[in-house]
Amino acid sequence: MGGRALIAGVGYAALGRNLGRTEGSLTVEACLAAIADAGLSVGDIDGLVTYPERIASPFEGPPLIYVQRALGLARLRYWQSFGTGPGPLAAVVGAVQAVASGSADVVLCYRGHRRQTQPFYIPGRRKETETAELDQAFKAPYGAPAGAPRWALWACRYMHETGATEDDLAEVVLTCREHAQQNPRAVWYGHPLTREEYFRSPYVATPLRLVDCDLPVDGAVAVIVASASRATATRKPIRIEAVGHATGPDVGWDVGADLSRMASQQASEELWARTTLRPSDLDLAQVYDGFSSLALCWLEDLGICGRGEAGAFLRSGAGRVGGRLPICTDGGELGVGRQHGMGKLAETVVQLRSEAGDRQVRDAEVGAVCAGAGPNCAVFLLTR
Amino acid sequence: MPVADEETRPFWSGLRLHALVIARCRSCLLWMHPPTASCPRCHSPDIGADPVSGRGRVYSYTTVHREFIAGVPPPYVVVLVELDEQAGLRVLANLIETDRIAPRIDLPVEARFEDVNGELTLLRFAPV
Repeated sequence: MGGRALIAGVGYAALGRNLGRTEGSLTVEACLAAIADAGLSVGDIDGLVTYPERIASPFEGPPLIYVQRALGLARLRYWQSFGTGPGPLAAVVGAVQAVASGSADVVLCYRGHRRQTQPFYIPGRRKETETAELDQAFKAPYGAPAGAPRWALWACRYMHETGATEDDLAEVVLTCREHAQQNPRAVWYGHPLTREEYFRSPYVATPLRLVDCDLPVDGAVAVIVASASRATATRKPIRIEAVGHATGPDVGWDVGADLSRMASQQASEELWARTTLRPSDLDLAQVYDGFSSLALCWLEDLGICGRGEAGAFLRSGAGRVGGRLPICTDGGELGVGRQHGMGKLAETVVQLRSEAGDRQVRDAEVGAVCAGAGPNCAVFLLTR
Repeated sequence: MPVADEETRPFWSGLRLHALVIARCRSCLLWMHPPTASCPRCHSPDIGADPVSGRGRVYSYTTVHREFIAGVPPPYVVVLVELDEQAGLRVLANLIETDRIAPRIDLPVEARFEDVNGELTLLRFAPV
């Protein structure tokens, strides 16, 4: 499948903590920016996809129909909204499948959000009189509906099994925060973090501190996935060499054999089975860092280092821009703000085009983009 | 307020009677939680529910310092308990009596039942 779909354009909207703009406004800004970046016109778009969206899922995001109307997209051959999956990369996987199968040629993928409207993730947002159904019935009454308490349980077991320490978590946060200082769009730009400050940050749910969690933000990112024949006419397309997308090791957030594992393992196996490239070929790795603990597991499951060794890898400085294999080069979820991986995809395209300015990884030719945690993950391999 | 359906009612009814009732395949005897309409192992649709001993060990835990659900004020401890009946059979609840014994992995615990109101009983675990 390698080379059948390319990323033809990327676009960002403004990003901040309280911009006073609608999700739709931010999304349209990012979409038009991506179309312009590709050197295309709106009329070239024949596919539209997102994850999630306000109508199809309990999460946030402008509905497909809003974006279609706002952009004046007359005729679409692929039109899909994903309610679940490894974050917005689920939507990009859909776009790649549509393009690779010939269903559509130029698919616009978007992720837009406002922090105030993310009820799952903001503490105290749920009311006592609300009902909890299905899986939530077994979790919400105990104060663990989603977010930090659930991922803290995972982190606790992961650290128990691998020997990872809070110092290893700190290394992820410090690396991301340092990279954010070279990214004016990042929410933590202008706010460096020291190791002492990390350990003074209060716990949200042990072992996760406030700084171990990504910050909800207003923002939007859009990418355009195009077929090879259409991509050649765009400005600087980047090749999708391979995609790994899988569930595992067991279904559900907390049941099954080993809570210290997650589907990053299966997704990485799928990825490396679909390319002759190897982890040693990577020039940068946008490991998923919605919580710092997840980034450690991604580094190991991607094959960059052995299990339990991610902390040492980061402590050596290898993960910093200028080091052997930089991670989260834009600052990651932890440095930029919560975009569930869509920003990572755009950043990797920018890096491989050699347009990352102060953040540029030298001779960047191969990049991995990871999204997801727990039972469903995806990883993309992009090449220049 | 948790909402029960036909599959989960034995669990919630069990809690009202101060019992931990877990779904079990009547064909291959696999325990499963939360309940599902077919057995994940042998695919039989013949699913029942039986009381378990209530004993297990802490598989993972976290102390939560922020309010995530109104009515569950911090700090509180969430535990994932692996029940003695089957490897991998896990139930999530709050750990109580943490001033007596601090949470740790493999801590032996037993189920307790807290009547919140006339309609709702919640599961707790306490160190044995």
